[in-house]
Amino acid sequence: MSNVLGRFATAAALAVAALAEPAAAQEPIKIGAIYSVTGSYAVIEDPALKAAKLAVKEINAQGGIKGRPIEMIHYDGKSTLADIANAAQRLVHEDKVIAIIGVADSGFYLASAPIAQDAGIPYLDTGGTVPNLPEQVGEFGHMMPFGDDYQAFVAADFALNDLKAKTAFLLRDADSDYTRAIATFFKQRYEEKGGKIVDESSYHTGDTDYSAHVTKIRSLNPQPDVIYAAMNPGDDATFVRQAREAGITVPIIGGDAFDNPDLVKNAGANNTKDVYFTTHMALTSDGGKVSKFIDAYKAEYGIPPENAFAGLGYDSVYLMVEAMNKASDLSSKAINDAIFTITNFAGVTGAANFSDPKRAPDKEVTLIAVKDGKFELIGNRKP
Amino acid sequence: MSAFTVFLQQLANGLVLGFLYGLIAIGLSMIYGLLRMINFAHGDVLMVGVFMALPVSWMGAPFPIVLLAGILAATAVGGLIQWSIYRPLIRSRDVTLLVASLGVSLLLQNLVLMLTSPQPKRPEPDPFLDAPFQIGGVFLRNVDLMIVALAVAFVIGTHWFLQKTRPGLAIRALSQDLSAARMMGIRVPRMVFICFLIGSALAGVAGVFIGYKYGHLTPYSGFLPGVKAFVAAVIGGIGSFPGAVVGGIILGLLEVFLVGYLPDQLAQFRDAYVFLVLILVLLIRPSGLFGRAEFVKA
Amino acid sequence: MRMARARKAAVPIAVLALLAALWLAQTQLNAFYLQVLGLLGINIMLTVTLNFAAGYGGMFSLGHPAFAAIGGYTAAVLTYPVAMKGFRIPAYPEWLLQIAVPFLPALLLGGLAASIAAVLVGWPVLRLRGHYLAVATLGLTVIVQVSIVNLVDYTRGALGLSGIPNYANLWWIYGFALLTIYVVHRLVHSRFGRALRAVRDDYVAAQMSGVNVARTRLIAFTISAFFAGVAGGLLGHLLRILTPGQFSFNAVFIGVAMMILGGMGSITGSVIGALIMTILPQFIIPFERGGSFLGFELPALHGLTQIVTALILIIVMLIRPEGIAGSKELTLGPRLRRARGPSERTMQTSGQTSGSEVEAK
Repeated sequence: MSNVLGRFATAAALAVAALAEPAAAQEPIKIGAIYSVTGSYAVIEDPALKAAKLAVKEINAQGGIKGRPIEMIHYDGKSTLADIANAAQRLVHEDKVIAIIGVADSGFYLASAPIAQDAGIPYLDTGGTVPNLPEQVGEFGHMMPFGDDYQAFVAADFALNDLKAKTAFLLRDADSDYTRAIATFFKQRYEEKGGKIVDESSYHTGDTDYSAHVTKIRSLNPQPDVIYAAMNPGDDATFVRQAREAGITVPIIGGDAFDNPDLVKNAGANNTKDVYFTTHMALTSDGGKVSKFIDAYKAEYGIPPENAFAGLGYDSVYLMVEAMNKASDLSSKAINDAIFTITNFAGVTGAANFSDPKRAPDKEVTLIAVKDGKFELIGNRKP
Repeated sequence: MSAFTVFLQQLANGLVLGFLYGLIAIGLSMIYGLLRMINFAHGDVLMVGVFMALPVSWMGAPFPIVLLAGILAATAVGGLIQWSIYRPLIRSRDVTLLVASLGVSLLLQNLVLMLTSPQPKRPEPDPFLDAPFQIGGVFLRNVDLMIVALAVAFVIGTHWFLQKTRPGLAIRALSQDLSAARMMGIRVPRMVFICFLIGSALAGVAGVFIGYKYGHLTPYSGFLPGVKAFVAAVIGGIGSFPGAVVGGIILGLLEVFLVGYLPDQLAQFRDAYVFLVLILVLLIRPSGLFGRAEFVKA
Repeated sequence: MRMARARKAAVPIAVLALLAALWLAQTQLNAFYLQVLGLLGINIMLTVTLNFAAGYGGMFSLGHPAFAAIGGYTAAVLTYPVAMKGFRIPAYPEWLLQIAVPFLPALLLGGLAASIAAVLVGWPVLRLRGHYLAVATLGLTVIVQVSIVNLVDYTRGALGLSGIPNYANLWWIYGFALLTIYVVHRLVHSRFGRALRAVRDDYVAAQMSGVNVARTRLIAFTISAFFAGVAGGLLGHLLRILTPGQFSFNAVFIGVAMMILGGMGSITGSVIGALIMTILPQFIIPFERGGSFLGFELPALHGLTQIVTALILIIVMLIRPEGIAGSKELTLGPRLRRARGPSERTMQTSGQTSGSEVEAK
C-alpha cells in the first residue's frame, strides 16, 4: 500500500473512531434477571419477569439511564437449583452484567446470591421473604419485599385487635419454607399477645384435596375464632372454597399468596366472605401509581397482573434504576452503595427504606378484605 | 361434630379421592400388565385431556359435554402417543419404554406450558356439580357423588368389557401370556392400542373431575396424580384391574386418615408413610392385594 | 510386543491429558464454565455409579438421589462452619456443633452414611425384581426427601442448607469421578463382576454355581450408594447449598435418562449420557429468552431446553434404544475382554414363566 493510501486509511479510521465515540454512550446497560418461567415457581416468577420487562420498556422509552438504554438479560431458573446457580454464573462471568434482580424464593436466592456477592455485583431478591436474607448473603445482597415476620405479625395483630379472635387454627404447606415461616411468625406473635393456637395442620405442595384438614377444623369444638392459612399461590382459592362449602364460617386470614385475581373466581364469590390477607400491594387499589401499573400491564399483556409478584418484579427494576441514577458512576460498587441511600422508594408495592444492610426493607404491609367478591383495602400497616 | 361423624366425613373424603386415584390407576395397571411398562406419561395425558376440554367449558358447555370432550381429547392424545412412540418400541426392553414415557411426560408438560401459561386454570364452575350434598353431618358436593358414581360405572363397564367382549377377552389373554396369545391369533398391537385407549379415556374422566373438584389446573397437575396412581396400582396388585381400583381407594383413605388423625408434627411426613406402606406391601405381599401370583421376587 | 507396550502406555497418557485439561480449565476458564464442568463431573460420577448397580448389577434403582442426599447433607453438616452451625442446624449433639471437619473425611463419611442406608434398605428390598425394586427405591427417594423437608432443625428444611463452604473444585470432582470409573471398571472385570453379571442374567443358575446372590447384590448396591453419597457431598460443596428439592423426582428422572441415553452397561456410555444432558442444555439456554440471533428475530421460547431434551430421549429410544454407546466401551490400554452389557432382560427375570414377555427372544 502506498504511503498516501496508508495515511488516508489511518485518517479514515480515526474519523470513524471519532464518530464512534459518542455512540459508545448509547451502549446498553446490562442488567441480569433470573426468573423461573418453567417448573413449579413459574406461577409467581413469570408475572415478576413480565412486569420487570414492562418496567424496562417504560424506562427505555423515557430515555433510559443517563441516556443509555437498559438491556435485561433473562435466564430461566427452571425452578431448579443447579440452573439458577448456573444462571447467576453466566450473568456475572459471561454476560458481565452490572446488577442482577431475580427469584421469588429465599432458597433460590441463597443459592445464587453468593456468586454475585463474590463478584461484587448487587443482587436484588424480588420475592423471597426470609427477613434477614441480606445479612445471610453479604453487602451486595438486597431484597425488595418485606420479611415474613412483618407479614405474619401484621396478620396476628389484625386477628387479635380487629377480628377479636382469641383462638386460631393454623394451616400450612409443610414443604415450603415461606409458608412455614409465616406460620411460625404468626404463632409467635399471636401467642405473645395472648392468643391461643388450638390446632395445626400441614398439607403438601401439590395437594389439592384439603378435605382432611377441613374436617379437622370442623371437628373442633368450639370452632376456632380464626383460621390462619399459610399457603402458596393457587392453593388459597381451593382451600377457601372447600372450607366454606363444608360449612366453615370462621374468618380466614391468608398471606400474599391469596393476592391474585383468581381468588374470588376460583373460590366462588359467596365463599370469599370473611377472607382477609396480607400482601405487598393492593392489586385493585385506586391509588394512582398502582392503577397506572395495572393498566400498563393490561395494555402490554392483555390481562391484569396475576399476583403481587408482578408488582415486586416491577419495583425491582425501578429500584435498581433509581440506584443507578443516584450512583456516582455505573460501577457495581457505586450502584450497590447507592441502594443503601434510598430511604423512601416509592414503589407500587409501597414505600420502602433500603438502608439496613441486614434486613428486609422497612415497608408497610397491605391488609385486604374480600367483600362482595371484590378486594377492599383495610389499610397499610407495620407491625 | 361427633367423633363418629368426623370419621364418616374423613371416610367420605378418602373414598372420593380414592376413586379418582383408582380411575387413573386402571390405565396404568392395564398397560403394565400387558407391556411391563411403567407409563410415566399417563398422568400428563390426563392433564392434556382436561386442558383441551377447558375451552369447551369456557364456551359455556354443560358438564357432560365437557366430560365428553375431556375423554375424547385424552383418548386421542393417549392413542397418538401409543401409536407413534410406544408401538415402535413394543419389542423393546421395559427400560426403553419407561424412559420413552419419561420423555413424553416432559414433552407434554412443556408443550402445554409453552402454549398456555403457568397460571392455574379451571373449568367454568358448574352449579350442579358445586351444589352441596349433605348426609347427616357429612358434607360433600355433587361433584364428589358424581366422581364415585361415574367411577363405579366405568369400573363396571370396563369389567364387563374385559369379561364379556372379545377384545376384552383378548386383552386378558394377552396379559397372561403374550406369546401364547399371539400364537392363538390375537393381534397384539391392536389389543395394546385398545388398552391404551381405554386407560387414557379413564384418565380423561379423572382429569375433568379433578378440574371441577379442585379448580386448579397447571401443566404440572397431571404428573403427581399419575405417580400416586402407580403407587396405588402396585398396592392393589399391578396388572390387576380390580386391584387398581382397590389400591386407589386404599391410597386415598390412607392419605386422608393420616392427615386427619395424626398430630401435625407426625402428619407432615404423610408421603413418607405412604411409600413406607408401599414398600411393606412389596415385601410382604409383593403381588399386591389382587395381583396374580406373579414372579415378583428374584 | 510394541503394540502391547503402546497400549499399556495409553492409560497413563490419557490420565495425564485429562490432568492437563483440568489445569488449563482451572486457570483459563471463568467461574461459569468451571461450575458447569464441575456439575458435569458430578453427573458423570452419579451416572457411572448408578450404571454399576442398574446396568451391570441388574438392580434398577430409582433411589440414588436419596443416597446423594444423605451423603451430601452428612458431608455438609460436618464441614459446616461452627459459627453458623449452632443457630442454623441446632438439633445436633453439642460435640458435633463444635467441630468443622475437613473436606475429604467429610466426603468419605457422607459416602459411608449413604452406604449404611443402602445396606439397611437393600437387605430387605433387593430381593424384589425389576419394576418392583424400582418402585421400592423410588419410595426411598420420597422418604428421604420428605424427611429432609420436615426435620428442619437438622437440615434447615425446605429453605435449604446454604452457606456450605466452597471446597469442591475440578480437582476434587474429577479426581473422584476418575476414582469411581476406575473402581467400577476394576470391579466389573473381576470375579466379583462376573458373579454380579451372572446374578443379573440368571440368578437361579448363579446360585447353583455357588454365588451368594443376596450378598453379591448387596455389596454392589452398597458400593454404588457410596459413590452416590460422595457425589452428593461434592455437589453441596460446589453449589454451596443443598435443598431437598434437588433430590426429588426430577433428579430421579435425570439420572435414569443420562444412564439410558448413554447406554446401560457401558461406562463410556454413562460418561456420554452425562455429557449430553449436562452440556447440551447450556447451548440451548441462550435461545430461550428470545431476541435477535444472526439476523433472525426469535420469540421467547420458555422450556425449549426441556423440550429438546425430551425429544432427544424419545428419538434415541426409538432409533437406538440400547443407548448411544450401547454396551461398547472405549478401551484404552490392554484390551480386556469386554464385559457384557445387560441383555434384554434387565428388568424382567429371565427364564421364569412369569406373566408375559413382550419380545419372543
